[in-house]
Amino acid sequence: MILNESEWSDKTSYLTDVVIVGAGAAGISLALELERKKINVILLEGGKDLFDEESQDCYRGKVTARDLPYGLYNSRLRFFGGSTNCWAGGCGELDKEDFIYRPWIKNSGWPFAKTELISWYNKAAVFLGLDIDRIRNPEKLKNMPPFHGFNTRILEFTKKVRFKHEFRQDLEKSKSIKVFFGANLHTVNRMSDTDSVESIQVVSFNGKKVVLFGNAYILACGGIENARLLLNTEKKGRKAIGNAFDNLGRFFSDHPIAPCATVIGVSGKLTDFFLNSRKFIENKKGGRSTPFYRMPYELQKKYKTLNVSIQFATQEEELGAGEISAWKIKRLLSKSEYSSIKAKDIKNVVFNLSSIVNSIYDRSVNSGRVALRFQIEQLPAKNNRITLSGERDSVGLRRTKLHWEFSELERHSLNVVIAYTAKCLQSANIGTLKLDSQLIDDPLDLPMDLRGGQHHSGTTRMSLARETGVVDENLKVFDSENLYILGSSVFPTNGWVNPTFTIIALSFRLANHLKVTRF
Amino acid sequence: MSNLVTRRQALKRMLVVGAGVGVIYTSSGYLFSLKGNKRTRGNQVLLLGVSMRSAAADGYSNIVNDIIDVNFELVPFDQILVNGYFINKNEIKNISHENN
Repeated sequence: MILNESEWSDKTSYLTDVVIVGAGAAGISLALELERKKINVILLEGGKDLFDEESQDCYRGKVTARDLPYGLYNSRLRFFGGSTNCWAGGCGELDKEDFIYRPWIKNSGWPFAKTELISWYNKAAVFLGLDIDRIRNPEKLKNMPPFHGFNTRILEFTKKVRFKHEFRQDLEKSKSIKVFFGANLHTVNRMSDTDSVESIQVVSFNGKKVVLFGNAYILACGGIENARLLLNTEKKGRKAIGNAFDNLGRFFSDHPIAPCATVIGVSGKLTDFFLNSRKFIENKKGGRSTPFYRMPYELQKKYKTLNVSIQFATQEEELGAGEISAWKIKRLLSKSEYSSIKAKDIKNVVFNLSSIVNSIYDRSVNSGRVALRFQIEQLPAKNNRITLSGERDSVGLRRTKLHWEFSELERHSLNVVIAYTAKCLQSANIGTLKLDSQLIDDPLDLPMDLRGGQHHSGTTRMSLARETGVVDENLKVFDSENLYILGSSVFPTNGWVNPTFTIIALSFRLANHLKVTRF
Repeated sequence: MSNLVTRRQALKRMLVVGAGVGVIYTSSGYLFSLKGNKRTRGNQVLLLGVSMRSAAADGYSNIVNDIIDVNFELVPFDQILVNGYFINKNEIKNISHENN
């Protein structure tokens, strides 16, 4: 059953088995799986059925240090289906080494090995209509161009992309799932001195209030919002739920993605390899996949890098002097640091206007050159964190303030994979690389025109010990008996791969855990 | 310390030797025209605006060895970065120059 804000009854409280906050990929997949297990669910969507500015406005906030490529407001969506409403559908598994402790990467390691997730990945593939064998054995795919020296990986694209359409009927017909639109989490009522939840209160945009009681409560609102909602539970003399050891909101990560070098073909021509590796590979069911090439773990270990992958992609030309100055000015303007703008940069922009316009056009159509494009893991750094600003949203909760920056390890990893790619191209006698000049001029930073994956993660990290995390290996908040967190916010490290497939695998794993331990 | 800093230092060593045109011969090789961005296969790497003229007095091999020594240990995968272009050090046969 789905209830719009206007269809809420006059009841002021509900009792159910499981209360899920957030109707995106995580919340919807969990609700449907709990239904199959005969468990009653109330699924809360803060937004409405369609995009609505009043709801989306809750996502506004401030980013310090490095801007998120699409900002806090534009890099996620707050209505039924959540960010699946802008999801491309790319699915892939984390690599087995993503789960282990790597001594050169501080705070690395999941509480369990990849083997723990295999059966849940299988289930996620069925849920999304994907062939798991294609994901696991991409080198066997017809037309898959191998790149000698790299591990072949793919993102397999599901057709079940817009969850609000794909699963709407299931939710509407369900007798055990109640979906409330416009139900914004406002208050979490705690039991005595613990972080266990007695009830939660939601408010609608038109002022209705409802209290919900459940056997278990799940926060499934995304990599930024899960942390923000919990941070908002801090009260005078009492720390926020899950924040006994000051880990809540910390270790924010995203995937740095950007072109970084131009491919130079032998004889000035690019071979079919580059053409084929940029094509989508179709499957019999009408699905498609795209290859990624991952630097082998042995080399990651030898050169102490993060997990890195590359693609060859049609991209705009590298940034020239005018564009670099324009990016510098844009950054300073976004931070309101007007006095730091240099006359040289203004001059560069003025004298290179046509080039900047061309660059914007190239960027919009991704044309201009075949480039090496990277997608890499980010170091889980404690200082990359979400805190709360003093400003409040229309629900009355304090807004997000995000501090995001890169460490030397990201740039080091990038340097290594670029040099290695050049060597592999040379060995195969199909080309070499020309590094983008911005990376030569600035040996520490990542490309200025970075596009992130909008794969926010890490802010309620999973850990074996309460001193080093927010949730345990079963996604239960330490010090709470009944509050769980679901989504990429629990990832201790984010690998190189897009997160949604792993999020859905974790949904099924959590559903099983709830059934076995609570019902 | 970033590997690239070291590569830049290596490049700088090449750049400080003077003005003109320098040529590095490689076994398979590419011809790079940096200004025009034209690339055609050849047996040399052409660095416009970079001269080895003053280096000639000391012998080119010293320069090459110097570059390779600097990069050999610190830049992985036998790569030398020359004006942004990745060149495999094993492909370098010798170094020469042209006056212009």
